[in-house]
Amino acid sequence: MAIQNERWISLEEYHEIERNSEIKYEYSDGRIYDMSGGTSEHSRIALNLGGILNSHLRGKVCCVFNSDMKVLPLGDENPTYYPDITVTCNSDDYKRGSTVIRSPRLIIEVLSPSTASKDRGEKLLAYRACASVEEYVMISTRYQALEVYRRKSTNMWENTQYIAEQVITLTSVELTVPMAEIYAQTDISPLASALYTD
Amino acid sequence: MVANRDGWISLEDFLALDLESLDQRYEYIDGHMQAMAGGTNMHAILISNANYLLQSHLEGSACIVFPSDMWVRIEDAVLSPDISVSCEPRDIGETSKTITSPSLVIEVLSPTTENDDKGRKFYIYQRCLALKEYVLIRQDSMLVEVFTRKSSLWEYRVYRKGDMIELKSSDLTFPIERLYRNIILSPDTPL
Repeated sequence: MAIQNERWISLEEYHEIERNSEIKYEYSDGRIYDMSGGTSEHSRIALNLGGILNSHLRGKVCCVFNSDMKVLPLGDENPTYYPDITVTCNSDDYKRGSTVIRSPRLIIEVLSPSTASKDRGEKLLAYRACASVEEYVMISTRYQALEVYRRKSTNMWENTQYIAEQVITLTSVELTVPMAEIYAQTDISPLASALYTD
Repeated sequence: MVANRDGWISLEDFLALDLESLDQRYEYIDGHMQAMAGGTNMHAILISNANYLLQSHLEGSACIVFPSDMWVRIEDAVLSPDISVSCEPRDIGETSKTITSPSLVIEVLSPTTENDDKGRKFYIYQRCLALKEYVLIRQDSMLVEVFTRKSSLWEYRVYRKGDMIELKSSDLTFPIERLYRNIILSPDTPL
């Protein structure tokens, strides 16, 4: 991911750019971010966890989406994100023809060196401000390490960190998943000391 | 300097360096010396304000407020937080370059350090069981993030304009405006 522009870009220009481009862009505060490209481990992790969520939620009112779906955490288009995995339990978000999610319950980002700063900074604050979000998960691609931010009340969230061999709990969708399943078929190191995530 | 070709240096060699004489400040993480970002005017004022609030509150207590030239050693890492508070006699009494048991650590964020402060360094600080609170102060907007340890997890709170900040580790509550005194902020930040 790279910042594309030095000058302020309006929402109208952003729409125009997306219409004429094969790749997706995120938008926030006049800047657009190219979402193209990703590593094999990034893709594996998103698919592993997305698949587990998909099986778990089949037949329920909640649906899981991949990074094709836009999420508008603050209601309007500033900012517009494409999270790696989104779960919504609001049927307005997944009715036929819907192109945006306004009421995400669970957001998952697989970290990469170029996005981690935005994921831990701006996006954490935006998702915290989105009333429907109950959990925000960030997964490291450098080591087997994962952090969950979980809403406890309007102002108070909890942060839990997991490392290899632990079992994570996603209370927003009532799911427990062993870390090993999230990192299956990747050669990402389990990391004994947990000191050095990205 | 005793560093080999890929920049690896032992903890022992790092601690033996005359750190004050180096060209800039370094932290020691994962066997490497990491240069620290230079501070801005805003950065310095925020640290000064936070320091004043803590100092006046803790006066007469057994706790000491340390500036960033006190190193915090956690396992094989040596960090240099903007402010650390320790109430542990062993941290205060000894003539040592490092403390090991801070109860509170404060970092003033800059865009280049945010990921490190919330990611890797936060993972390291969690390994320090004495640490009860980890505070991140933004300099581009009035926004303070506070992580408070609660058994195996951390409570996470965000404070903005008009809020009272509560630091449970030091039993201190103050309006966020006092922390941002003399700080000029850009008028509108949406988040």
